[in-house]
Amino acid sequence: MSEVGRVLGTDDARPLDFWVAVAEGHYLQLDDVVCLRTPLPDGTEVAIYGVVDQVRARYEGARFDSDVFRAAEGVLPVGIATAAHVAVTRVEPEVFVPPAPGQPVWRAEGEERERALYFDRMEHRFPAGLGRDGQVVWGNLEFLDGTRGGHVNIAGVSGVATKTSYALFLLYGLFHHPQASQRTRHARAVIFNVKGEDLLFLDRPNARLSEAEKGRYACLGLPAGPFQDVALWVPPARYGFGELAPSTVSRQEGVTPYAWSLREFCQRRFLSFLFADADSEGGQLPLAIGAAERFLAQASEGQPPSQSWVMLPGQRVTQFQDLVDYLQDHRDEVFGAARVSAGTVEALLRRLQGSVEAVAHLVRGDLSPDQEERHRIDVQGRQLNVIDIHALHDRAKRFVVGVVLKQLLQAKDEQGTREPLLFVVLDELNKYAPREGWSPIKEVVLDMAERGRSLGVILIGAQQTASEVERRVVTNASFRVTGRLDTAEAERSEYGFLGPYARARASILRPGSMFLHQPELPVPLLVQFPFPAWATRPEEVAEGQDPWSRLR
Amino acid sequence: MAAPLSLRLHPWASSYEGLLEADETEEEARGPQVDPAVEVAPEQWRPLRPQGAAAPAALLFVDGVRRVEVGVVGQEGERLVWGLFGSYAAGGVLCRPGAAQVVAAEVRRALVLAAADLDGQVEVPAGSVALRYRVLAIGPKGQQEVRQEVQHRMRQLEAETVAGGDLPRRDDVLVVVDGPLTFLPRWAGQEVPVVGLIKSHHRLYLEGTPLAGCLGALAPGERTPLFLLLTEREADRRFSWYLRLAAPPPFHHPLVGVVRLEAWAEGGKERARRLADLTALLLPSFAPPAAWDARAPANLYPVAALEERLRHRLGDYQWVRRSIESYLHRWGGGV
Repeated sequence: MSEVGRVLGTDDARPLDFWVAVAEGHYLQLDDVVCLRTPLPDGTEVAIYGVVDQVRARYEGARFDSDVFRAAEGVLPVGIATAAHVAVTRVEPEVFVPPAPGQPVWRAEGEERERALYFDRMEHRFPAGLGRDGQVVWGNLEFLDGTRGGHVNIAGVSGVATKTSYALFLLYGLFHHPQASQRTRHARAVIFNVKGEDLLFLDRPNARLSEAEKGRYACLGLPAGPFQDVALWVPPARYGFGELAPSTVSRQEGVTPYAWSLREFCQRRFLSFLFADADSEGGQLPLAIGAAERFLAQASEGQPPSQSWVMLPGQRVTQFQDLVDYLQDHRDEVFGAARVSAGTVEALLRRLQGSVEAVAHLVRGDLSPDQEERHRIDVQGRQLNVIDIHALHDRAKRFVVGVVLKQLLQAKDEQGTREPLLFVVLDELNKYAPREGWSPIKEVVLDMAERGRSLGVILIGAQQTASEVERRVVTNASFRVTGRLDTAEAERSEYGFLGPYARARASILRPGSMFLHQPELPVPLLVQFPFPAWATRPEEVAEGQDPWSRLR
Repeated sequence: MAAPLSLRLHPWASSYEGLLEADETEEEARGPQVDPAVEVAPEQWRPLRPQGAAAPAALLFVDGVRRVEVGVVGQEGERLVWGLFGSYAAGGVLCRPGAAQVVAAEVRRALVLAAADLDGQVEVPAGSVALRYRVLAIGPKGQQEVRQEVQHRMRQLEAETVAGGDLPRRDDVLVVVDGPLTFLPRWAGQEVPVVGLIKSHHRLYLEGTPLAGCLGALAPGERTPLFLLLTEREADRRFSWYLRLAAPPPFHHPLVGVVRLEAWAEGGKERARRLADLTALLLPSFAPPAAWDARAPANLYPVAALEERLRHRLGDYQWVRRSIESYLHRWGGGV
């Protein structure tokens, strides 16, 4: 450890923050980790650790701003005083006295750095990124896996593509770090691909990964490679005969089309997820939806898994269009008992007709039992499951997300044990769990946020603006991460954990840098994560890894 | 050390902030005659504007500060022994194009006593440090001499700065000492060109002569011709000249902005003339505007900054004074 300065006495030193005068020939920059010892009258020493969150330099001996010109001309002698403000992270033993002015301050390295950032107390940990000093910033796994806390919330403006990248980096670390993966070996993860076909190449190495970036993976104790165990689920092509073909453009092999059977749609009451947008709330519409769901569930009760179609009273329904038509033709039987107005029923049926185009290829009655098995999203087969929804109609997107989340939660509920863990990465939380209003997806997400810890379902949620997301979803996250924030957004109380200085910096964060707040540390840490080692676009797929590359 | 002497506080002995105002009074009270005809005949006196000279590589401004922390009085048999706790400091600012730097700053503390046969030092605990006051016994003298002693010591320390220090090339540095040269021990200026700069006009050397008109006619950067100060002792003689640093603000006395400078006569007239030209060329650019300092423009930038630095180094006046008082209270001030 090297001495970098001393506690200065011209500004108040407090138990939780103080200023350090930086010695000549040394420097302290933002995010540096420092430590010092201050003596008590009884002879014991209190170790104080902290992180630099502000640095300043000024002339000493100058009276006016314009004195800078006199100094530059060689007329006025001045000194330069550099000082750094330290936010205290830890005090050992817990005697909260201010550090005595004049005490030497050291740059915390090695074990002292571990202590300053509570890494020494983390029995199980995972790499959360690299600090500005190029060393690993650890996250406490016990606060992620549900033991003492759970969930991650990531905020940041879009377009910088850091939210999903960081979520993937977290998963990569959890699954591939030798230490962390011991606890997550059987864990599963689900991520929705919402933008382009970006996430369809996670199992391929990135050709653009430089040697320097590989070095950063080495620093993290991670192999620099693609995800090892990936399942890619994509929507089926809209038109086609026989086998379902993937609808994706850039990748056809190694992907599995997903679909649900009409029978399952009825039995498991998926209908409400077709009305998951915010404007479905209010009025009697939920009543009508409930009535339709109930009718379909009762009618299909006991029908065997060997059929993907559904037998409704008086009619065998093999297409989604037919199902909607059936409801329309039998509206009196379906809605009769629910005491909803004819107008509400009309509205429901109108919307249902409107959704046929969006979801007809996802909910089908033409699957063989074997096909239904193969095309049902099963996350237990592979470690990381990418579910592509980017090209779907907005209503279909919500439907898929809602149905998948509900099924995952139900499965965990039935399973009854926390292990193996299930990580769910969900971007655009402001869409799925908005602060205002109610929707069936919001209910599932909220359920996940509140009960997920005990069920072993860990939500890695992301959104542009935390202020527009249901408060309980955000506050339940043990790990709070922010990338670049809009200045006005950063001022909101949701980002109080950043403190004043990190807030100001949040508007200039570069891609690849995030502020990470975790339960044990009172201050947010700036973490950086390396360029993806997996391909995020077709162009990035390393040559030779793709068996078809030579044929094109 | 002789018989122990018990000191008591003598609070009213220290004037405002302990500042001594005894700069030039001693000599100028006697008032030396001047010879105005050394450079130009008196009839031809007019402001001179030097056209250019080889500038030195650097200027060294030397200055000191001093203060009386607290006055004390002791009893030696029947006689009262006057004394004081005083601090003084001296230092230098080396100004080169593009960089001004405090190159020396030394603080000393003294317990001056009008007694004989005392030496050693007293250590006054003050917070985290002990202030060491060196006992200076100047023999049975009055209060005035006790105060003068601090002044002399300070000038001595200034001289050490001129003679010693870590100056680059000695012959290429112009040393500007704050105050008259008479107080500077002669050995101090032997290797380097030294000029003294006197800010205050306790006495106008040319008052009452026709030459005074020339003084009022000075424009910034202009100087008067040299005149010789005819002191009693041959060795004390200096060439002197007036220089206007800056134009006075409209409501100020015309002499504001005019300083007097002097150089040892034994260096010869030519050398003095060269120094006078150099000062006229260089010093106006070191003069701060009136808003910068209460004593502007005569209190030059480096000098004002150095004084501030040195005064700061003396320690907080109230704090030091209180430390001495509690020292006297606790240990009875035994020396």
